[in-house]
Amino acid sequence: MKALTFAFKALWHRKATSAFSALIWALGLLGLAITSRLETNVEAQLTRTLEGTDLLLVAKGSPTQAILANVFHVDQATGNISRAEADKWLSHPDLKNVRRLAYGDNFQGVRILGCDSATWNHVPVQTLEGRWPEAAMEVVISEAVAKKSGLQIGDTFHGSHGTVDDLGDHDHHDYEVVGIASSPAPQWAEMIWTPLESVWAVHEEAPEEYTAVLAAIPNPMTRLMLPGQIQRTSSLMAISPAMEANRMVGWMNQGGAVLRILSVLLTVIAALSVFLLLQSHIREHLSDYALVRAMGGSWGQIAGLVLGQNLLLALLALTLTYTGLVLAYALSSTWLPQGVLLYGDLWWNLGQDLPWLGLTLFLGLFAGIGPWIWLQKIPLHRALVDS
Amino acid sequence: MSHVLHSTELTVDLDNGKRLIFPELQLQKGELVLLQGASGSGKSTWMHALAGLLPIASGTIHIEGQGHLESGKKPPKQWRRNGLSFMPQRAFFWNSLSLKGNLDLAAWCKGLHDANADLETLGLTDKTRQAAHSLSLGEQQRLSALRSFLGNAPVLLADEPTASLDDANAEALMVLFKKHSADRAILVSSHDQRLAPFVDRIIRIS
Repeated sequence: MKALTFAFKALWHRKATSAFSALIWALGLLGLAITSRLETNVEAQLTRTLEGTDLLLVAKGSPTQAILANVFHVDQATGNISRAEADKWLSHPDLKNVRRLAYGDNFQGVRILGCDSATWNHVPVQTLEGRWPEAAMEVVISEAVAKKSGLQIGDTFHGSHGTVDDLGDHDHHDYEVVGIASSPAPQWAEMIWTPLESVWAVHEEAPEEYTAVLAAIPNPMTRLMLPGQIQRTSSLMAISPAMEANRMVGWMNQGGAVLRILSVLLTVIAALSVFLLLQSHIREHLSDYALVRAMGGSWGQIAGLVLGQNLLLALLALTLTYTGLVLAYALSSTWLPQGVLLYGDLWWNLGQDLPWLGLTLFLGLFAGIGPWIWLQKIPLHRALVDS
Repeated sequence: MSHVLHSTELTVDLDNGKRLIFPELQLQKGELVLLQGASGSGKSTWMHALAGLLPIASGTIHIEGQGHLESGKKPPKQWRRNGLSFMPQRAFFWNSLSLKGNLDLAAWCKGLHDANADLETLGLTDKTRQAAHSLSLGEQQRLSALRSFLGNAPVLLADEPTASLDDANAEALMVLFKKHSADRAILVSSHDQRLAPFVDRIIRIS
């Protein structure tokens, strides 16, 4: 313990260089920590969100965009599909939990989602004040929307054309709030649910259309065959979200791998800088260590002083890393959509963190062993006489 | 009086190929001995060899209760911890530590729990938090001596302790040595003629 006190004071004496080394080290570790957390979290969120959705029928376009718009509700839809054409497929006996969506309008930038009861039954609801809609033009708003807009049950409002942008008011059609729901799922954090009929009524001049149809296919063979069959025989685009998600995770993992390699490089460079820092410190303070030997200190005690400095630097780097994780988490709430978490395990996930925690301590100690061995080769009397 | 240190004739080979031979030496408990010789006569080399900081080519050094230091062998484990204290020519301190911190470091090196040093005698009690290197040269040398008294080793080797001190500080240091020589043997190497009146015995080397 005494060795660590003396080691700490030696580091404190050169605090600027010590802090800089720990900072570089922490940046490398932060890269590793965030990458591993992001990968785990995004994959888990994707799996959770796509659960029960094996088929997505949409207008032709980008499959990724279609999934983002109709499953994650964050992008513009690829277009609308004919209700008649889609309904032909919805009677397929292997399709379960069919959910029909029709986008069209927004209220103060919040999407008004026309959907059927199967959709809101699919929403993981934490609390529901009031009730779900029973007739056209009734809506349930999410808790965040209620807070943001001040709307309460019984209030009415009218939407604007377009899912996000204000392209003109539908001021002859008032929506009535009949419920306020809160959901832990980020894609439902800011949403207004209304029956499909509301959207069709507001756009009475247009034919009745869906934006998307989502369904579960418990039968694995149908799950495999049906999307292709729909694609070949209709103008609809049939997507298997799980396969698309796998592709997205694959891309992400590739990006993560690059970030991980860069982080490992940064960590190794930091360890090298810690090694050089210690080496040059020992060269400059050779007489300090010779004095310890001259006063009766053992090589074990000198190891405590030398390795202790690196161990403390490693601990400082780990502290800075966790501080960085907290800061990134706090800052992410300002630029990520509401309810989306940068990572779930903010503080401590020993199983996940163990590899780089171990790497840090190993590098810290390893970077100290060289200077310690070098020190033993220096003739003590020369160190005392020459200094 | 018994011998606390007994060294046979010692041979030390230097890096430049020179070989130095030192005569037999005996130190007794309670004596303050001056090792006198001109600059470059090998006083420091002898002191370093006795302390086990410099390998000896031939000869044996014995310290009471600590065993033998022989040529070709490392000093016994507790040689500098319990057997002898070595006070280098320059008063080295860890700049990162305060006066008290440096005493604690010395105590830790000697395996002691506390550094019970008599700072009051040196008038340093109010400077314990001050950096050791900021003390005056005389104070530094006296502190360095005080540090070497820690652990009560039976032998103290002080290498040129008064080299850069004025008369007053040199005298203060020798008074300190005299006081602490009662229960140990102290060997002071110096070419300084001012020290002669303070010591019990003088060994001259050329």
